[in-house]
Amino acid sequence: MKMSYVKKSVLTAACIALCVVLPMAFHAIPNSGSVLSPMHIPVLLCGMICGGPFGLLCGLAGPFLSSIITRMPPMAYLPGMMIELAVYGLVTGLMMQLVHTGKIYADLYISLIISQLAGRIVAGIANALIFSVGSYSIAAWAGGYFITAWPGLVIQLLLLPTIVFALERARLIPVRYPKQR
Amino acid sequence: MNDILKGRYIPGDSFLHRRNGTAKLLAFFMILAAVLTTDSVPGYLLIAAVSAAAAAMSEMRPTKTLGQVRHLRLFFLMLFLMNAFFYEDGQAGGLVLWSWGIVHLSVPGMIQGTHVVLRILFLMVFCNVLIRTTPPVQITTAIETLIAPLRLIRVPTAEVAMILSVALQFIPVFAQEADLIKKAQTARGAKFESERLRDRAASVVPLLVPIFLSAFRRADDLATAMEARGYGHRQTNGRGRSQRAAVQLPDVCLFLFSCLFFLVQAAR
Repeated sequence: MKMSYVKKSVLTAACIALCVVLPMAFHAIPNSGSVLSPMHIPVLLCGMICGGPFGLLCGLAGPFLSSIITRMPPMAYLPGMMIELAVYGLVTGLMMQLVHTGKIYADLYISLIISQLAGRIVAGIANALIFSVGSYSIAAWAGGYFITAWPGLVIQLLLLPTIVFALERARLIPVRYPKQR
Repeated sequence: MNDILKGRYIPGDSFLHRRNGTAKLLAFFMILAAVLTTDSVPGYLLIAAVSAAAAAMSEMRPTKTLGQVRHLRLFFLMLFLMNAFFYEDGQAGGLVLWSWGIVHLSVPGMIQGTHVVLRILFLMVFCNVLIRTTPPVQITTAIETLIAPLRLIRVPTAEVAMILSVALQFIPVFAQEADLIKKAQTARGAKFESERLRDRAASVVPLLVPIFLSAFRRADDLATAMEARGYGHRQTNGRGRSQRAAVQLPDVCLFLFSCLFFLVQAAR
């Protein structure tokens, strides 16, 4: 069973809204934005469930609306973050379309890891060539995107498959491999 | 949590409140460009005068206009000090006041720090004025108007605008629901107020699955209702489209003034 265009649109809207709400829920934890990366979760999920173009839109609109409404992220970091999240959403959706191993866990983890790497590489290139020309190094890239953010990476890798399963069990999204059940 | 959402848009009937959202957004982009091209004292004085005029036209108290700027004093100080001590031109010919290892307190660094701080400060002030005088739905409509040319490359701009406006409707609902779930988890022993960072982080994680489930359930209900009422792919017939305010002469004047302001700053 495939999802309709309207349902994909509304689920994308829900993910964009969660991009604003989740950082507020994580607000009690100091530096939660850079450490736990709560905004990445709905964008990755949107790409997985609704596909690349919807993930791309979620990645662009989520941080933009959040910045306008809650000032998280600050305007100075917004363009870089929009590019990073847009790539996450787009690549996750494309990978979920391309990868069909027959096992949902394998599909989810392959798509997640590739999109997390792609987003970080593109964001690093954007920072080096556009946003922080001359003052950006590989050490700063690795420090900012992998060392500081490792708790967020672990949370995403642990939680996203759980959320996808929970949504499938609640029949809110179509089951990817119905024969396994 | 809902406190963060309060006080963003302030309803009013000022000159700026009455302006067309698209005109305001375009003027904001031109002013943004003007601020980024400024690098002289008269230029900053002109920007200060324009920001004061914008605040007066929005009929906001100076504290509201400054918004979070007041709370970011430490951030601005850090920004200035980082530039003053680590600006690389200081090593290459600029007047270095003090040097120790890789740290160089230089005059070009201090000037660069002042530029960066002033630019961010003015951007925040103008951004505050825009956000506090424009409802989010009007900003969405303005974005739809501005991205309309993307239809030429087959981007469904009406659908994009619909998604954005549905997202805006969802935000307060989800925030309230997240608050409820948070209270339920607190009743079950989650330690959101714990002083230990680990406890706080661990308590937030179990929030996520219920928040996603409830958000997707609401989205599913809405999608079913929309489909039942005939809201279909590329056959929207204008349904769900927000009403656009007509462009008036003062809107055109506002945009032309911002263009002039940018040209003056760029030519300086």
